[in-house]
Formats: sequence, C-alpha cells, structure tokens
Amino acid sequence: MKCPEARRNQYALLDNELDVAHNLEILAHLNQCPECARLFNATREFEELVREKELALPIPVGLAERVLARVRTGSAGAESEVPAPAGRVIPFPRRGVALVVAAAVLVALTLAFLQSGGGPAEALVEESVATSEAIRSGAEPFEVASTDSKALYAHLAKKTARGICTSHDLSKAGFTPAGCCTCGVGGTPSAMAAAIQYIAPDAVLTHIVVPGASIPLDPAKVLTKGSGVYSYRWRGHDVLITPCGSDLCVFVIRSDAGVRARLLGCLVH
Amino acid sequence: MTATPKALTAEEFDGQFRPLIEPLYRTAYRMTRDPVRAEDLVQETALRAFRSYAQYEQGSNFKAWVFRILTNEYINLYRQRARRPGVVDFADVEPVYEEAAEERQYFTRDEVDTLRERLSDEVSQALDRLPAEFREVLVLAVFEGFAYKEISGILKIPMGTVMSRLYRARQALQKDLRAVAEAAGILKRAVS
Repeated sequence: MKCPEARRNQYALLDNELDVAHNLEILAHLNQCPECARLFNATREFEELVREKELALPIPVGLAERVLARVRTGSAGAESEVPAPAGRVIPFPRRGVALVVAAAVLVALTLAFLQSGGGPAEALVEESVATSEAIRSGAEPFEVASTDSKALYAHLAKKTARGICTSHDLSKAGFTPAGCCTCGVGGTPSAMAAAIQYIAPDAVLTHIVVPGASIPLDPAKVLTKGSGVYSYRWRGHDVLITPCGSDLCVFVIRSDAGVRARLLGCLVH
Repeated sequence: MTATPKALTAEEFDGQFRPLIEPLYRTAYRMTRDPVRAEDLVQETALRAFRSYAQYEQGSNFKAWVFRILTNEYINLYRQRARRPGVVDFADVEPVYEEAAEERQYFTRDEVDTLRERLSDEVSQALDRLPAEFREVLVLAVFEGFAYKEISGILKIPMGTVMSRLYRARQALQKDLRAVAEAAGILKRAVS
C-alpha cells in the first residue's frame, strides 16, 4: 500500500470499517512509514480530544429519574415538570488516550479485571505466547484448538515477501472470525498471534483504551517482545488484545449485546 | 421472574434503558442544541421505546434500535426534510472520498495536545456550528461508535452518504477549530 491510499483510508481504519485484509495492509504500511503513522496519530488524537470535550457536556441533574417517571406515568404527569437546569457535571472516566510512544515504564495495573485471576484468560495468554514463540522461532506449528485457526495459519503461510498476505479476503476464504476483531484475524487468540507476528514481531503493548477508560498495562503482565495475545472479560465484553504493527493497533470487539468496544493499543518498540 | 417482552415492567425496561440515557441526551443535545428540547426528546424516546418494546428483536442491537427511535422523533419534531421536487441532495451522488480537494491534515499531534490544554467550550461551539446533517453523522460515529451501516439504518440514508458526510464533517470541524485556535493565538498560522 502506498501513502495516498493509506491516508485516504485513515478514517476507515479509525472507525474500524476496514475488512481484515485492508486492515492488515494499512497497519503494515503505518509500521513502515513514519510520516503516515504521524499523520494517523494526529488524526486519532484529535478525535480523542473531541470525544473528551463531548463527555464534559453537563447532564441535567435527575435526568434518569425523570425519564423513568415519564415511562411510568405515560403521557401524563411528567410533561408539566420543568427539567432541572444543567448543573452538576456527572463525572466520566477520562477517555484520554494515553499514548506513550517511548520506552516508558508503565504504571502498575490495579484494575480488578486483570487481577480477577481468570483461569481461562490465563490459559489463553499462555497458549498465545506459546504460539507466538513457536511461529517466530520457525518451529513446526503445533496443533491449534480449532480448524478455523488451522485454516488461517495455512492461509497466512502464503504470505508475500513483506510478510503480509494481501491477496485474499479472509472472510471469502471461509474464515469466520469468532470475535469480529478487525485487526488481526479473529478466530482464536492463537490465530491472531500468528497473524500479528508476521507484521511486527518486536512490539509490546503498553496501554489499552476502551470507552470510558485508559488502562496502562502492568509490565509484569505484558509479554515481552514478540508478545502474544491477551484475552479478558471486561464489562461484559470479550476483549482480545494483541500488539500489532506501527504505533498502535485498533480492535473492535462485538459483545453479544451488539455493543462495540473500541480498543487502541500503544506500542513501545 | 422472567417477563415476556410484551409484559415488560417499567422497572425492567429502566434496567435495560438506563445506560443509554446519557448517550441519548448528549446526542439529542447535539442535534437540537437546546437542553430543554434534548431532555424532551430523551423522555419521548424512552416512552416510545417502552411502548413499542415488543417490536424490538431480542438479541439485536438495542442501542441502535433506541437511537433510531430518537432520530425519528428528532426528525419529526425539529427537522423538516421537505425537498423541492427535482432537487437532489448532492451528498447522495458525490463520490465517497473527494480526491485532492480539501484533503488536509489540520493539526499535528503536538498541536492537538496544545488544543487539549487551551480549549474548553470552543470544541462544543464548533460542533454546534456544523450543518445539521454533518453533526448528526459525526455524533453517531465518533461519540456513540455506531458502524457506518448502523448509522445508515438510524438516519435512513445510504451508506455512501454516511461516509461522505462524516468525512466532510470531520474536515469542517478541523478547519473551523484551526481557524479559532489561530485567531486566539493558541496556534501559529500554518504555512500552507
């Protein structure tokens, strides 16, 4: 992918609207082109700024109660009430994207969901690490849990010289993402790790940004260079986080309720 | 304990609806630019959603369904879409991406950091200055995180129009804020 195309697609990337193949392409380009990465970074920061300012909008005091009252009483009653003037700002978690593009030491993470000692999450992390290591070291790919992952891996094996497979639409290849992850390839975390390693083996995830929070990662829990994939249960969403090329990576996870969580990761090289 | 959708109580509905109240309010505020109208819209939306809950397909995107109700209410009350015959909305026919033209990058990363420190109400005011059709898509895409396809369903416009308006909305917002920041001496005039 050349620069003009990458720049033309930056909003589509930001909005998680690219299909898997294009996503990989543009991220690979950003990894190799500092100028485009800089521009994308600035674009994304501007969006984040606008979102922050929007979340500071004052919400009228007692709004939720009046809405419920309206639902209860139907079309009568609440109409005569005058809504309270906007006063107190309901505090929102800051959505600032903490982007540290430097070898920074991270703040230790104290969020409950990482400490919840999730058995399944830990197992997935371990599996992912092992997969990444095996692939990076060129060892035989080991048995993966699902046939989806196998097919994916075989598919990725047909990569181009740059290490990215750009000639196929993965969904057309019969690969059905289990997690709707638009960066990487969905499926199992192992498969995602495999895909990511082809893009940027030397990357470490330092932050996760989800709606409502910017979460610095505990360096002890972040895998070292050549890292794999984390899977967490966070606020009712299945979250898959994988380091990916360039300064950042973007995922969308769709929960069963159809809500999208937009994640941005920042990498330290 | 489990109520069928048709027998939903107000409390049960509130449990599902409550997390959407503030996002709905912010969207309604951006659409109407008036806190009183915005609250009115949210209350009407809640009432309509409650009354027509049986039409909501369980398991489908509840937020999108509710936002569609909000938008319908807003359009019915505040946005007359009367068109003169023969006039076509240019946005419906123009290409999605405008090549060359105004494809500018308005801020560097450092400049955005400066804006974050120095701006407060200016962003909100700039949003309010956007034309209504730009504001609508921007709010749904950037603040509420709806997919282009979902926005297309909520606003009942083609997806190409969604993409085009969103792109133009973003460019317009950046251009406006750039001018505001330069006029206030917050940013130096860019050498273009």
